[in-house]
Amino acid sequence: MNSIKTILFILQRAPYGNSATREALDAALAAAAFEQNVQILFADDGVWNLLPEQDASSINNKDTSKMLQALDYYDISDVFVDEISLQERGISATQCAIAAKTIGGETLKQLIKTADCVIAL
Amino acid sequence: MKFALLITATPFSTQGAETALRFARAAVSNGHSIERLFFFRDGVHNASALVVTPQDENNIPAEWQQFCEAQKIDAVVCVSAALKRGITDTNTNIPIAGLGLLTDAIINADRVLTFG
Repeated sequence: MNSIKTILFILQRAPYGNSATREALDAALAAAAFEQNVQILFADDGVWNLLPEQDASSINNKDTSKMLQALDYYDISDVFVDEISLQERGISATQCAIAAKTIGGETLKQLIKTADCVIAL
Repeated sequence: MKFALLITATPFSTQGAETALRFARAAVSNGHSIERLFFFRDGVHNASALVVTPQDENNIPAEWQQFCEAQKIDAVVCVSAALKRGITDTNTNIPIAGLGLLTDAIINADRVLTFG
């Protein structure tokens, strides 16, 4: 594994009710551990993952916003959030638990276009 | 072209696994190669050795097994996803492995397709 690829993970599912975000993060962190250039885009219901102070203990689950803190330890700094998805759900970018760059329009298209591999889970 | 397939679709409940199988067969028969099949999330059920289907129904896990054996395809099941779902006994051509092999497949393939 000596070449480096840009891998964009698109997380588009809500934090609870399914395991999509948790398992997608597992895959993203593994790719980062193998020194790939990992990018993460939160879109659609995936933006709910970014809300801070989630209390998942009542459903015996883990707080996804806390799991996102791990991105820093893996040097994943290219974290983006789709601005339309935020607007549609009445969430402001300043509310997000981690620093995610708001992205939309042409820039969003370019992000997807320039990635070597896109994995949407 | 070298394809890597990320299969997250469970057999029977969804169509995705069958579609992935048909894609893989079509790719090979058209002269392309499969870098790796990576079974992830609910897709781990495709590798189960314990699936029994009625005679008049398609046994997709058995079909994967036969395809991998006949075409010498590299196929693995994600260990963390599999163990959580009780998949410890997989078909012989589809061993359990780590997520590092997904990264490895992404690096070496020309295209990665997700079937969910």
